[in-house]
Amino acid sequence: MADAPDTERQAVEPDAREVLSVSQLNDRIASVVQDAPALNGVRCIGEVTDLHKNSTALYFTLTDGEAELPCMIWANRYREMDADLEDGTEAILEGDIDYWVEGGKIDLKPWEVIVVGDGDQAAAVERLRSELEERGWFDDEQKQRPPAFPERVGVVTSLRGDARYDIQNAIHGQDPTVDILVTDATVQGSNAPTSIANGIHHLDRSEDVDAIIVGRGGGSDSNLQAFNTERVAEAIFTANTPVVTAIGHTDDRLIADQVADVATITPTAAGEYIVNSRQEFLASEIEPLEQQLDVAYETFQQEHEHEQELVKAVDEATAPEGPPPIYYKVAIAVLLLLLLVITGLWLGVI
Amino acid sequence: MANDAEIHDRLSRVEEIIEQLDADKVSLDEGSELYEEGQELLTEVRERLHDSEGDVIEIQ
Repeated sequence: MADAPDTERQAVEPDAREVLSVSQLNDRIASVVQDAPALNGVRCIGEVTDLHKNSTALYFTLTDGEAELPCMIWANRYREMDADLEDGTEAILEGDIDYWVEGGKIDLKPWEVIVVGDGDQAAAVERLRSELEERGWFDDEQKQRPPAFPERVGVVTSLRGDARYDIQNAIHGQDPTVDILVTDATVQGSNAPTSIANGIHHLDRSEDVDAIIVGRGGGSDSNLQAFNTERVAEAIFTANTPVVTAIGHTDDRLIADQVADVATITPTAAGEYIVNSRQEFLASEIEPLEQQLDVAYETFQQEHEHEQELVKAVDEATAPEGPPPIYYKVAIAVLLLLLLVITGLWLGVI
Repeated sequence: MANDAEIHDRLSRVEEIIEQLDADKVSLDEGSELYEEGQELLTEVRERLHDSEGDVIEIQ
């Protein structure tokens, strides 16, 4: 088939050389989304996560474990629905896909919500949590205390994420002498559990790594599911090196946090926790000890100076008057020598 | 390896020295030697804390 003439093509496709403002492009996307029949009146089943609400709307993410979709329901509409949504609820949503022009974001705005039951994912996480608790993996006796003065800290996180820089800056802010070994890991999606576990194993096998931070920035709860898997939990639990988690802000406690030796809220907090402040340690420990040593020695010296003066005074007080005994011994020796010389002369021996 | 053990050992020895000086059961010469030892240990701790700049190593 012959190519369509240029004029005809322009009528069908937008001018590739046209430069649009962000608003213009977003408007264009919005019109495509609104006009697409396939995106209107859709029905979608998934698990509700990361749910939060305010006076005007209810926001949550619908996920099937592999993919996720932001959703929003206006508060007045939600009140009219016979549905009680919470994190972990499995629900069928019916509504339109909407494109928010100002924010450049797509979401599903449901007009109908049918609660199917508790989500499979949430139930599976709770089963795993109970099992690991029974095994004693969360027990305090299993926790190792990270060293206060590590020479090298290992970090398992995405090399492209902000978390690694937050951790690095926090560590070197406390102590610039510490080496940091960052292992790249996929921290969300289906490959994440294996990637994170491999990173932990790798750093744990490095003899010179004194502590490991497993971190990522905040995200929706469904993005954090890798940290609720047995694979990651096992890697943390079996590590000989102390592990500190820094998985980001979340209301729910993650299994990785519970198994870890120490759980912190943010990557920055993990970095600050793992390394003692050098200046603070010098000021609070070393300088007082230096002063104590100086004071102890000064007191010791003064005691001994008094003691020496006392011994000298006692010696002087108890010493006999007149010349010292050595003089008498020398005088006697000289007299004996003279006596020998005289006796020799008298006998004619000399 | 972490510096904890080495720093802890040195600080413990300095505390022992302070106790010995406080107890005043050593001669003046021995006391002077202990004081010098304490100062050396504290200097070593400071040196450990001011070691060279740390590196950031990436592993893909």
